[in-house]
Amino acid sequence: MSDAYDALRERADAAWAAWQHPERPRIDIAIETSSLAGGAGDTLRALEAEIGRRGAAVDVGRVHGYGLQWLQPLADITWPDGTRVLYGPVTAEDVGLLVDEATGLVGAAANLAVGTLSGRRTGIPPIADHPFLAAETMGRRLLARIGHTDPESLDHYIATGGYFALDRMLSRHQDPASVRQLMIDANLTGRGGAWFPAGMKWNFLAGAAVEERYLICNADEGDPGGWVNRVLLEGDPHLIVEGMLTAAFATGARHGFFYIRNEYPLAVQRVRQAIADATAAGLLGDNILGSGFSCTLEVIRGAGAYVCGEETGLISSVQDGRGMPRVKPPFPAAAGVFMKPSNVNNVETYANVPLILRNGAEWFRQAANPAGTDIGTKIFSFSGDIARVGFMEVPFGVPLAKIIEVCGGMVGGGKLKAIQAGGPLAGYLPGSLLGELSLERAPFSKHSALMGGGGIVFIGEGSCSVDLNVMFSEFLEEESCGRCTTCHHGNQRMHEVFSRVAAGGGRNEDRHNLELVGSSLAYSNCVHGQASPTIMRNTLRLFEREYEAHVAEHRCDALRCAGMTRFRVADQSDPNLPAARDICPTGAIKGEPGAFEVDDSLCIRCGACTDLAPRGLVREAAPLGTAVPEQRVPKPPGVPAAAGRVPLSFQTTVIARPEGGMGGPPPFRR
Amino acid sequence: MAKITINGTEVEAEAGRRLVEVIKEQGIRITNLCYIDGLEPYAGCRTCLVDIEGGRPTSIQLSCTAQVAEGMVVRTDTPEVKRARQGVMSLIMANHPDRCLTCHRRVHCQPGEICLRDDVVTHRCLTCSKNYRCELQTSTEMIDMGEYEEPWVGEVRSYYETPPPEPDRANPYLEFDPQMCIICTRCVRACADIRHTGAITLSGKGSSTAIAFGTGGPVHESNCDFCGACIDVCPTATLMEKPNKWVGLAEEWTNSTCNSCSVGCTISYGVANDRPVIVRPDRLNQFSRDQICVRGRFHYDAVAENQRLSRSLARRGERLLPVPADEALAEAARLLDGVRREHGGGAIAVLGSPLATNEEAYLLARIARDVLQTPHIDFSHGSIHRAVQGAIHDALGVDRLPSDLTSVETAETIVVLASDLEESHNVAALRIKDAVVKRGARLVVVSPRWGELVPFAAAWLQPSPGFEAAAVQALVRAIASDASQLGEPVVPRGVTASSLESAVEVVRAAAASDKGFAVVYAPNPVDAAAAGDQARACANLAIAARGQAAASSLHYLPTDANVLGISDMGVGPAANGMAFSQIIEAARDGRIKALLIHDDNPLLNGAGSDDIRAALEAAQLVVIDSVRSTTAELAEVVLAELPFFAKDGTITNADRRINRQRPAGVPRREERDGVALLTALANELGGNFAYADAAAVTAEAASKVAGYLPYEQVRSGRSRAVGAEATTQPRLQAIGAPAAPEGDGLRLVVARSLYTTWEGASMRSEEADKMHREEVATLNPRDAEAAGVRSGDAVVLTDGTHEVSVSVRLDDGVAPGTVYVPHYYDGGAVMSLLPLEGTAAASVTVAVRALQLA
Repeated sequence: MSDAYDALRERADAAWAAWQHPERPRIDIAIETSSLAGGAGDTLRALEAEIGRRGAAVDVGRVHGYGLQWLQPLADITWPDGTRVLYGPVTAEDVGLLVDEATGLVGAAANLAVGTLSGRRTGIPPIADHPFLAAETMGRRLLARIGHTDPESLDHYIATGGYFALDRMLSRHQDPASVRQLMIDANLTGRGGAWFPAGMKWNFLAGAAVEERYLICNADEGDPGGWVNRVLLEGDPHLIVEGMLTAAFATGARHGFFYIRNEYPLAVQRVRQAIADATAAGLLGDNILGSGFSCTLEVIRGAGAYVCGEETGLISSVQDGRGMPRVKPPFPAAAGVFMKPSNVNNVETYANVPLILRNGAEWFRQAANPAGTDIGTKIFSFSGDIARVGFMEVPFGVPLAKIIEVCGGMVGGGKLKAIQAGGPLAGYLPGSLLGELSLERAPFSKHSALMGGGGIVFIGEGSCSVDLNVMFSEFLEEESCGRCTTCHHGNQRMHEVFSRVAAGGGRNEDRHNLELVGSSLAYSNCVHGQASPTIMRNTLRLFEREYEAHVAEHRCDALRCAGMTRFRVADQSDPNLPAARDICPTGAIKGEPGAFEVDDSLCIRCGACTDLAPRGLVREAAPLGTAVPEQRVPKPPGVPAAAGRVPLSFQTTVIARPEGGMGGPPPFRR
Repeated sequence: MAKITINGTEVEAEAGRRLVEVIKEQGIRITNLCYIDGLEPYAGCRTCLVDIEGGRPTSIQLSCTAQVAEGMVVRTDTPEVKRARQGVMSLIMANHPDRCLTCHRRVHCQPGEICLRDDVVTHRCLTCSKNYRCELQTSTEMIDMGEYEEPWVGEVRSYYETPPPEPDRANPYLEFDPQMCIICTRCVRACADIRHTGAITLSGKGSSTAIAFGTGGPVHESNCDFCGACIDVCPTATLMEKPNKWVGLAEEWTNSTCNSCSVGCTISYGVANDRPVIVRPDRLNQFSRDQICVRGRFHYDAVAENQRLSRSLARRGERLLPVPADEALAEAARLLDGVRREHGGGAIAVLGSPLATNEEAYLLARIARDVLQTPHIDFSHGSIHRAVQGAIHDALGVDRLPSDLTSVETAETIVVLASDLEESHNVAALRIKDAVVKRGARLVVVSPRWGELVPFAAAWLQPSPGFEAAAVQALVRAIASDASQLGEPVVPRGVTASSLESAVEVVRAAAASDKGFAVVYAPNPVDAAAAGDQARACANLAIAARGQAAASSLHYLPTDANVLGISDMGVGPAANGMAFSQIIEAARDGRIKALLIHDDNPLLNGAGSDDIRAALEAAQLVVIDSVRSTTAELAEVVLAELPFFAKDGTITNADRRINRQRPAGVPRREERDGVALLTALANELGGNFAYADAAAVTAEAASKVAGYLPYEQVRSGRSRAVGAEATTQPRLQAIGAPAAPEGDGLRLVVARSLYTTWEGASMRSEEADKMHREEVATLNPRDAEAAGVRSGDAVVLTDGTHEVSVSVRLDDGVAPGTVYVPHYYDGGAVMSLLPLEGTAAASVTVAVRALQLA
């Protein structure tokens, strides 16, 4: 141990002890992107106001949410005796109960209690017993600090074992080659979804001919439904910093970039804070911990392009270039950032590095799927039409049926229609395959899909595969970088065809033409273009009957496709009907209370009315040939999507309600 | 070299080369809509698919990204390859007006006919300006798109559903019609990687991806220089020349040479209806190769056809009226003969022009020498050239520099002394940028005002006007072994210590190395004394850095195209002959009675417009020209000549390449080739010339003038008229202090701008004016504030006697205390503020008076 580290550890231990056994009760609010979206900001403000109003002897702290996203905003109370209980959802109205509970009115917030994080509390089970966590059979490794520590505290990180492995490596002057070999022995593979052995990548970089070289952390997590990296960046930023420092030591790089997507402002802030704190503590910069090893890190914010998740697109973006994937070769290990050798790894890959360095390859390999092909634990985020939305860390190989079970099944007891893992490029699979699927690579690739980087979306029976393809193809087209004609024109063609099918204009030759585009897309430069047709192919193969129903019979059983559905006033007594009339963007709902009607020739089937008046207005199958005005017309180049289409768009579903599921009911309490 | 097999034929190719280039070299036709030979592949169009044995994941691979490797087996002609290309092409065509591209009737179809396929008129190839010269069109033919099923025909396509973006027709050079764009980005890369300009970018993503100029506004608001490199590479009608856009389908191509500056880029005129309608670079000149600039590409069109002289003119009373060609010729001869009889040949002076061919210059010199028997022959900028020539002779002992401009490209260090090389010699500036960007050369720019070369420079010395030579001499002083011959040190006013320090560092490193070193000097044709000093300083720098090899390192770029050629041919005062300014004074004073002026326009080019006008009014003029220039207006007789692009002959460029000019036009009425006119005039005067055509003149000139060749031996861009070895050792030259400026006004800087050519400026016409990008005076904001002038204001520049009104732009690229006015602004109006060359100090002072304050 270096003296410098010992000094840091001493200070950190004191801070950590005070955190675990505070002098007076402390209420921690989960402050992270999803809790803020769920109202944690309001809760925090209300809590501070309540404490101030009462003059209560209670402190306020900050943590990252524990993973139970459907219970956001989460909060916990730590009493001086070390007992710590997790509560949720704690809205601004509930803060009084929490203060009561903290100040000694035992049981005041009992209805909100989720589980104990430490210590015992009568009537409240330990959090580990929570059914949602039943699949975490190896316990939490990467997520060990999540929900326990203040993510912005360097002390908490160090006190819980952070930077220990780094210091040991540096102070023993370990051979960089042995560190790389350790990663190969552990079989650490790329967590972004490509599963390339990290140690081998590091060897490429270490063997580069040029001295100047760079490390990049790919935090451009753009796959809809995936927020694994965000949890790590917002919940334990120092873990990634330590991982990158280790990688820098092992590969000879002296500078690293965090490339964080612009949609993660809190992650940007926390990583910047972590870098500043680590630099101030001598853990970054020149002569780290007195070892003679130097490395600097900086944060680059993305500019919103999905393709910048592709490593060469990311590299172009880091250089202030247009975010376009490059032509390979040369590969980044030969010519990356500023045409210097570079290595790009995913956030979660770096996060595993300090753990392996500390605990050894053997420990890492203990977690594996039954076949032994996928090693380690993996964080997954589960969303869609499931009752409990959240993230967890499981060893590979957990059956998806088990996951659905711990997630409380489908919303409202509905059926699972499809499983979409790893973003729109990875395809999707029908719910009927649930029994065959588990969280490992093989079963997905067997069915021409991919497991991807950890985002799993469960799609309920209310969705239509053609309608999903309209959204996905638009997403793929909009996110094409514009290089390959196959990709930006091909996806446009796919979008046009699916839009027309959804509008009721499907033709027999469409299937052939879609296959044709798919075959041309294979000649694209990067994986975005090459994998674009996956979801279309899966549809034609695995959802064939539903697709053919659209084309041949103009029938959409899910009542999603605009050309095959219409709205009807089912219950004139619904008091929300006037509001529904007022929100209609085209004025298709006409009449007065008691005599509302929908004008089909004006209705663009946006569905805004049924969201407001679900009882009064219902969707029904439209007779063949019903005209649908101005809807699903392909988006003209350079013109933003028409306002009327927003409620159905992909972005709304995924970004505005990231953990809320696709059109499911509001989150419910346990 | 690697052996590869293409379509069963074994081919040798350099390993690592891009396969598509090798395929094309084999004469195999392959679609490649985004590839630019020699640049890194962009791999966007995806149409250059070929079958490469063992390729992964499939054997169908792009040939632009594939690199030649030993044993590679390539097929370009399998059904699978064709099918794959057709699939990709169908996607490109889905976002381009495509109906005609696949129509079997296309070849039979006429523009006015009703389309059997019910195609909209605006979507038909027949109504496209690029029809029959479109790369997309030929590409679709190459892979038989007509026989391919058309999955997207009849489809509700965004392309046809969306109103097309407006074409940009706001500037006189370039039409940008984004509707036609297939986003191959060749233009983006040509602009950035070939021209180092970067005016074009790719904007948007997905199907909104589009080409944009600057930040997406009109082309002329971007930093586009209108060189047209993007036009050359555009495979569709997206980027096209605005002049003659709709008639630019050439019937034949004529190899010729641009005569807008002394770089002498070889160009090809596309000819239709016996006139040039389009210009493309011609690769013969190894220095310009595939690049030209806005002048070369567009200024054949700067003077409208109806403004060119088609008939000769003679003075009838106050007016110049058209007369039959023979009558004009006889009258001209009568006039000159009369003066010769009455006052002797010495009362006649002859003015030639650097726009003329060597053949015309040779004949003009013979007329002066043998027919009129006058020693007084010169051209407007003659003394400037002779000052430079003399300085080079004194310093290096040679009359003709042996230096080759292509060595600038490979130089490790380049020093440029010019007012703004980018504007005066655009392609030379481009090659210097190439050297900096592609080969890491280090550049020192010495220039009193900012130019586009400056951002590429390791150091920029910005001397006050008049101190350019002193600035270069300061560099010489830092590396010369014996500074005693350099004269008294002169502090280069305006040059900052830090810029001098970094320039000295660059030059020192060059002196210590034996890698390529180039001094590029382009005199500003205003002040002969200054030009002499500058040439001496540049020669000194070459000597100090390279000693014996100095002559090969010094590059002298005269402003106009054929200065070197006409001087070689004898256009210059003979023994006891008067130089230009003396001729003007003599004519003004009545000692010269008549002037024979061929293609020159002293009122446009010479400093001291008042004196020149007085002289031209006092003497009798015989003018031979293709336009009715301001000088021609004062003539007794104007003989109508063919324009430069219709001339046959040779011109000699800055590094003495002999380039052919070939006629790309025919006489419309009675105008005649310069050689024919001069021969006839000489014969009228009893000269007994027997030249059938330019070739006969060349043959004779080749036997009389060292280094020149008869026609059949001239290889454009390669033959060089280089002179004898040096007769003396290189000698460092002393330079005096520049004359002190008089008065306390601003110092006037005049130089050639990029957008105006001599020919275009000779005419005052809307057509010509359109081709000049807005010409304004440039003022340092500091001076502007003191004078109460804002950007865009109209101001009056005055020397007390003359006034020039001009609108003003504020730019800190011009040094405080100076005002820059383009030479050809308003037909050379600013030259009236300068004294007749050689008669006063090197600079003048002007006062700025804002119009609204007057």
